[in-house]
Amino acid sequence: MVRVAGESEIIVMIEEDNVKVEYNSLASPRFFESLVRGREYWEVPYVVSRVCGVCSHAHFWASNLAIELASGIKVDEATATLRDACNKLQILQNHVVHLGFLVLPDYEHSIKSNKYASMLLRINKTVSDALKLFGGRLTNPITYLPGGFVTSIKPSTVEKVLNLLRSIGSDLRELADMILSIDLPELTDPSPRYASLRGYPDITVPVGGPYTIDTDKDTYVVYDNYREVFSEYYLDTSTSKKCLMINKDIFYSGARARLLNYLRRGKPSISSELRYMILTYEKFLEENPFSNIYAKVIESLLIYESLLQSLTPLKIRELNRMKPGHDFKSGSGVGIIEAPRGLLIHYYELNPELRVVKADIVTPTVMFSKHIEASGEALVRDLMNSEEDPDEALIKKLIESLVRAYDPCIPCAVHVVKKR
Amino acid sequence: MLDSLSFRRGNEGVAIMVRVYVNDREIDVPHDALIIEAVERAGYEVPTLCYLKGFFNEATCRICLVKVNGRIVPACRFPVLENAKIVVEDNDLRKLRKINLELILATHEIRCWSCVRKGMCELLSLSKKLGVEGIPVCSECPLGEHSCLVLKGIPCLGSLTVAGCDAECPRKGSPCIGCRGYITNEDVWISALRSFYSGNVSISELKSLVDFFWSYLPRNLREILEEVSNNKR
Amino acid sequence: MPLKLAVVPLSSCDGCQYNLLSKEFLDFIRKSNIELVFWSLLGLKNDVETYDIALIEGSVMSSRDLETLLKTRIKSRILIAMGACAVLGGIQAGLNNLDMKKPEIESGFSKPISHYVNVDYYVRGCPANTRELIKLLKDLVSGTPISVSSRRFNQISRDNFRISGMLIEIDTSKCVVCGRCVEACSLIGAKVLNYVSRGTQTIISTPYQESLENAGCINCGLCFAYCPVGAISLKTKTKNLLDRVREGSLKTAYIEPEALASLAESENLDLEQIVSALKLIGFLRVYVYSNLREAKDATGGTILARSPVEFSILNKQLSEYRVHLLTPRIPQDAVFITQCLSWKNTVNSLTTRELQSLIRELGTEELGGEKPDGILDYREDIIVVNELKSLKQIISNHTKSAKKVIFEACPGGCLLGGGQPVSRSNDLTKVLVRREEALKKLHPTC
Repeated sequence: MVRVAGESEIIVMIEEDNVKVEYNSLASPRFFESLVRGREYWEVPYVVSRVCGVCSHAHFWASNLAIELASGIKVDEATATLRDACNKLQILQNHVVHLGFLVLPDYEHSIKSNKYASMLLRINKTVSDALKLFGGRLTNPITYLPGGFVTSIKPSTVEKVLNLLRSIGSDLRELADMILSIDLPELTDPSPRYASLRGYPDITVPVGGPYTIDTDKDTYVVYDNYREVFSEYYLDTSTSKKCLMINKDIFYSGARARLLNYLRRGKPSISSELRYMILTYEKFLEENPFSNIYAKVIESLLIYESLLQSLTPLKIRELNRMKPGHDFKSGSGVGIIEAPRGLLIHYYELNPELRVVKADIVTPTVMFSKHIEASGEALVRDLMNSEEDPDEALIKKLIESLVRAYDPCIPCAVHVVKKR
Repeated sequence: MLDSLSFRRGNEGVAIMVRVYVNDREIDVPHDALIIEAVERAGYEVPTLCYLKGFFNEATCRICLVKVNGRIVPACRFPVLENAKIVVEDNDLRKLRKINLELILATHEIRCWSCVRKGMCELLSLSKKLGVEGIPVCSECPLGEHSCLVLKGIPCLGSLTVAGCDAECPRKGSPCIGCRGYITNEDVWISALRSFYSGNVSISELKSLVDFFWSYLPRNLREILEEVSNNKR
Repeated sequence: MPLKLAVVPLSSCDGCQYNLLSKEFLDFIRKSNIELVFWSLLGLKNDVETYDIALIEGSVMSSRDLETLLKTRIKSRILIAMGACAVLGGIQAGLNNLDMKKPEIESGFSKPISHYVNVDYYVRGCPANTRELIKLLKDLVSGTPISVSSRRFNQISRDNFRISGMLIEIDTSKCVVCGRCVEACSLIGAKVLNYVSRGTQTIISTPYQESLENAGCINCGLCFAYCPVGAISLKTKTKNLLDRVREGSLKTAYIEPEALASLAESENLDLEQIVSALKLIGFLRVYVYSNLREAKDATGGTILARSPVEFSILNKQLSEYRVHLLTPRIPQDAVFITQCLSWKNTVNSLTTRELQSLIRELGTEELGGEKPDGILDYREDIIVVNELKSLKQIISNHTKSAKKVIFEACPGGCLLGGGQPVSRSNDLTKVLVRREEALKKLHPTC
């Protein structure tokens, strides 16, 4: 598979009336959950941000959260807001790069102009620059650790980020117009179950457990019982795990899930224009897996507004500096956040020496790999039912564009494999 | 006010011009121009260390070597020769300049962590230009005695890591975890372990950082780490 | 013929590749003669026989990786290891150290690519430094790539020693015998330093390694200013002064216009930013002050010494004239920030060079702008003389006039004084001109 982060393959097996689709990761596992064992609490974020170079800020934040909760450390609101801003900027940046570089080539025939390349690069650069101001770098952040910030972020920095954001407002809207004008293939979601974190994107209180996870049907209060809600299992054919929701249902998380939950349970704090836009596509979002592409660009606008809202009134007096180790206690903690592709869960257990004895990471790609397979099967079945002899090339093209719509991130998925 | 500065004054108004060829480019320069001035006028650059234009051109460092009609001479010191063919850079010159820089480094004890030039080191910029590795990240880190992480007890591998990132992480308060790779010269290791870390950061904390990216640390350096660690007990 | 570039990932986090999806890199590729022929992240899979340049990201963790690596090496003219995974094995190489007997862990060894193939160039960092990569590609395109290697020669054992003075300290272990200090000391007339020994043992010293003052040092600090390697440093550490500023016993900063002009040239800062930096350091008030002010009341026929350096030079060389030292008249709780080192013996002072280090420690991106609390300068009726030989003539020309004759001993004047900040250029003629321009901007009447 090309135009997907990491090495993966999609296999379609058609035998008479039986269709089976497998989405397998080919990349080597890098065993991060074992790598962190024995490490001190402050070293963990440096290691796990390298699980994935595309969404490193998400892993960094989730691990910081989990460790702070494990060791009983509280941070102040300004610290939490800035970290959340880093993650949001990363989501925005990831969406733009994914849509612009990885997805658009699938729909080139449907796009009116091709002047979008320089606009995409401009948005990418601006958002990356903003992310660098808060997080230190685009990949592998360096500005904060469990306990607080190590870099001093000044009010003038926040002002700079706000100015950078404001400069791409119209570009984002133009991008949205372009993406929303694409004709996406038709497909009915065979397992329309989804999950996302409550409160997103208006996280205004310091994030900490327990977490509320909304699904299409119910709500769960999740902390160290997360394995009851999201169970993972292993396969021989793939180097990544696959995940099922409670009651063994295939589900998805990500932009599509977040928007749907936002509509039903979110606070109406966004502009009415944006709210109207989301409502227009609500049905499409509910029914068609390809709609993730629309969801991503709409979410970009949502995040843009949310960032302006949360950063504008931000008062940084003296930002939480990293606390010394003797304030930390041993214990276990769970950090759950909304990463660019969906829910991300980090779990750590610290011993009295403040070293990790157990670690667990559940990534969004692992959550929706089964859903990719189920949707893929539905897609192939549709194709077979509609035409006499569907062209192999057509199946390949459509199935690949389906996979890309999810934006899987294989480096995230392959962080461990269990020995059989 | 420039009086005491000009070590070489010609009559600027009535300069006699001569033609020289810099890397095959023809230019006309005053007859008493230095080779390095002619090279600059032609749009090229010669690496230097001791040269201070207007103040010092004793050619003691032997870095600014160029070829004039096939002969290797210091560009900051010698004047031009009429119709001279000046070569600013070729394989011979690159090799020679590198050797001379390495010899200079051999007479300079590397202790960037406590140096007054840290953050603005000319040896480091010259090393980057000529392709010599072995100077640690401390040389480009502006954190002096008031804010150096190690002096505050925070383990940071800057003094053993190959420079080139502009000390991106320590600048922001984040310790260096050695992602650029270890310095291979033993003298830097011994000096850093015995006179920089000692008293501020324990070897076991350092070893934990070493385990991030340096799993293939060569045996001789690992032994130095062990030796210093054992001497502590 | 455009150079064919391939981006080939092995086992990695994709971070190095991802950083290449930037305007900086893609614009560079577009403008140079480089064609992207293989990059699966962008869907580029042109089937070409050979690549000119292949960028390898990631380490070798499986037979699949190894196969990809070997195939790419055979196909490529130049192979570049990009990022810590390819260069060092990455953070996942830490698995090699884990206890493999534990049942949950399947063996996974991560190796840098140099264990299997010849690597032509390295780009270090995690993520790989994109700027370095662009520079390397630029050099490859122009045909003049730098081959990088570790320093080959060990430290030469030399008889090193320390020479001490009241304000200056020389540590010959760092000395590269460039000779700038010998020249500077000779130019100002003190002639304290020279070479001793021969061959690789050659080193700089005072006669018989005696203390600087015994040898005749006048504490101008030019040796310190021009030493390129930090072998010469100041005895006094700023820590004590800063502690007193922070606890409140030192409250105001009186900074010289020459210091401001020099910082403007070397750090690209304007007056307001420097004032802001001083306030961040802990000073409550900042004044722009020049000791030329004290020249107002000087009588005709006197030579005015800008600092103790000129005072000692004049007393030795022109003892027949009356010399008046322009001691700064500042409050007890003030710190004089000056281009001159020698004031440290008289008033609480900080050299511009020390201030430069402090500002760099703070980080210049975050400096705001504040106006100084006052400007106390005086530049009218002043003639500045740099050379001792012209001094006599000028004095005789101006005995009856109202003009004050000021002697500044450092070559280039106080703008290139011993306490000056490290400048960005090694062209002192240009540096002086830039500092003069900055000074003019501060004082249109200068």
